[in-house]
Amino acid sequence: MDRRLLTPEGVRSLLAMLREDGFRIVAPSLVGGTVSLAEISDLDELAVGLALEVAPGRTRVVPSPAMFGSIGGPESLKRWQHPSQRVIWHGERGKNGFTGSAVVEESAGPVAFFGLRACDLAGARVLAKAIRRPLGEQDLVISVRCTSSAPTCFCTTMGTGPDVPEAAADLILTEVLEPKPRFVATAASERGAALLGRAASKPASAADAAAADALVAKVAADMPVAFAPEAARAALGTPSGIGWEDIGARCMACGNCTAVCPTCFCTTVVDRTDPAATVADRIMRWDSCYTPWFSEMHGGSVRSSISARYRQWVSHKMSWWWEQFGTAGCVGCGRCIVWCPVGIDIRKEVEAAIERSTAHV
Amino acid sequence: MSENKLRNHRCARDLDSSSLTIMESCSLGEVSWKKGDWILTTDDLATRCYLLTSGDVQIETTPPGRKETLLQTIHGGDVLGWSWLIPPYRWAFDARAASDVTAVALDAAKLREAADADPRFGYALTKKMFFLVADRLQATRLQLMDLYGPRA
Amino acid sequence: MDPARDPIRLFAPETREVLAVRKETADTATVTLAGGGRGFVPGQFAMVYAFGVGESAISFSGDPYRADIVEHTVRRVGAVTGAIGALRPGDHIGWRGPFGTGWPLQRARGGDLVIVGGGIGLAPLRPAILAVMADRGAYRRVAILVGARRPGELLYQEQLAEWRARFDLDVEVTVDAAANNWRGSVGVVTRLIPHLDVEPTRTTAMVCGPEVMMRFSAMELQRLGVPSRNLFVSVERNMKCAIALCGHCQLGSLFACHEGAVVPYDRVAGLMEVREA
Repeated sequence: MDRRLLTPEGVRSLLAMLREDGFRIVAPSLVGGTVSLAEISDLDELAVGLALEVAPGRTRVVPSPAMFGSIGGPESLKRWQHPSQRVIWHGERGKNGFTGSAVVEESAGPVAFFGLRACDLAGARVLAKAIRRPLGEQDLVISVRCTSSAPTCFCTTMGTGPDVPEAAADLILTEVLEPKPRFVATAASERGAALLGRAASKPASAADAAAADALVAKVAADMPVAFAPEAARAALGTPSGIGWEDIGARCMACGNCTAVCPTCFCTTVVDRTDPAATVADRIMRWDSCYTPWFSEMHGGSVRSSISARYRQWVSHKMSWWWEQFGTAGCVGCGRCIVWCPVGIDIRKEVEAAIERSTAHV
Repeated sequence: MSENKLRNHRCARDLDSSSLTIMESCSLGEVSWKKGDWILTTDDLATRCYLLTSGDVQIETTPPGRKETLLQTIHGGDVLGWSWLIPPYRWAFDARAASDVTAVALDAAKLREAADADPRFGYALTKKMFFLVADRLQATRLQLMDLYGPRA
Repeated sequence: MDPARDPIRLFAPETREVLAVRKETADTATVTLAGGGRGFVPGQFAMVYAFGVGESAISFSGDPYRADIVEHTVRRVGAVTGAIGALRPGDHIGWRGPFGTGWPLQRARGGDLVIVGGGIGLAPLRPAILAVMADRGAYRRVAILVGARRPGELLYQEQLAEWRARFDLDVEVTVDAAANNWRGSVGVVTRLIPHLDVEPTRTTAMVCGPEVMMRFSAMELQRLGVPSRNLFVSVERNMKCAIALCGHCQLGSLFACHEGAVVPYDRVAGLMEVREA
């Protein structure tokens, strides 16, 4: 496809046009002391020139020469695909029992997702299958290919990045800093092409395109492969209950990993009533398989230990997900590593599980 | 008649022919009890082994100062009693016919002698009794688990 | 997000009137609700909603041929089942269903059938037993083995007595512990299996009860010669949404609410034995 060159101002103008077109804009922004995807109401809220320095259990906002330098922020598309809390049913008690009806979400308007990485898009695809809800057809995706990676990244292991498949986005940008900041843009859909056509751009030279591709290729080449996904699938398919004591001692079962995971889809439904129980709202909200009540049955949890809950989570991600949905449940974004308060690294745990399973043969 | 019953018993079905012949030589023939009859009582000498052919037998015990406790019901096809194999050869519990019961009785002393004389038969017999004990132990463990009770 | 494709509509319960509540045991009751079971098959379940309290997955326990009522046998173990157990005739309750898979009655036709129920596990088997009796000629030998903790904790006692009196059913009842006035068997239900008078290779077995009991039943049935592919169990997990969406009831890759509750034993054998504590 035709590749164009945009200036940083040109990229900003894309956002301005989308605002005018009535899109809500979701883009990296400085919120809550970190850089994360967020709905922004003003283009100044865009986190320009900021990056996250990340490590297991640690993040810090640092200046960045790149316009889109941040990787590993807590929010993924899940926040918009799969609301963390919503009323799904409202009922009122009457003379003859009660009446109620489903509360179906009204669309708050199309969203333009800006600055999404390959792993974000993979996460959205994986989640969409599990919750049986694709992204809205009116939504628009502008993706940024990674020209740097974090030490927590393992998209190459899971086969989800850093390159962005054209089918996944409407417009794909690659930021090139040297000799001066510019963006190589590829329209990946008709809507993306139309949007790009409205911005001030010029054709990208072969050298520009090659420079952009080389940056992405270097990210891929430099990222260590953590483990073989097929080996992980096999090792965790028939789970042994043995060998999880150590992780059980480190993991606090806080559920941060499931909250930041772009594909963790589990929900629960709770009732909210007034004191006299004349009305009841049934509220669906994210749940976590790390909570003790998650697997509760008649007074007891099926998975009472934290070890068992960690094993459940990682086995589901790496193995059972394949049988359920045809892919792994992990996209290698590394969020669970970054946002784990004790820095548990899923790559190391999977590697250890593979090792244990082969040691027993 | 009792030979057929012995040969067809679940316990004898897969014995080799020489072992079967030895077992038949230990047979005291068919015995029967009416519902409610005592079949064996605690601390009596265990002189017989019964291959139950029909009916139900209640294994129970009555500790001093307590009512009788029903421990386990065994049925036609089961073997009643293994205390005859273990010194001091005295029954550990009571057994009562819970319905009309028929069985083939085996002479315990003869069985022990034959087992000592012919280790091949001895092994086959011991294996049978081991399966029997394992089966009862497993059942007892499941009973102990109080499977249907409220979860702790 | 596309509201038209929102599966949330599937969560809305219908309101049903409670017609009768029959006490089964100290902590278990059978609730009769107005309205049919929407063509449920034996083994399936419904989500029963206590207003303002919550939902619980409860198996159908009544006659699958009744189009005017449904029955659910509920053991009071938590807030929701406690609220359901406290219902009185004339009260209303939320209901949606049917969900999940059923017992393989069609597959069992023409052969011998063994039904093993332990404790409250007899409840999801009762519709299967009623269906079999309504079409008794389609099966060869039919054996029903029932286990309970104590005689007073046996479900459907009158009906059990009727079934035991029939000449075309082998019904055996055993309890784990009993006083001396109990005339039935004492011992675990799995011990009744070796005494079954069936042709093993032509036998289909349907087992429901605590997981340990199902595992040992499967072992005894296989020892008897019943091929493992002919064994079916009902797996219980925390079914919260009933449409394979909420993730709670997963057992390995299996969504128990959707691919179960009734599953071939081979599908779950390896998963039931994993240490989770």
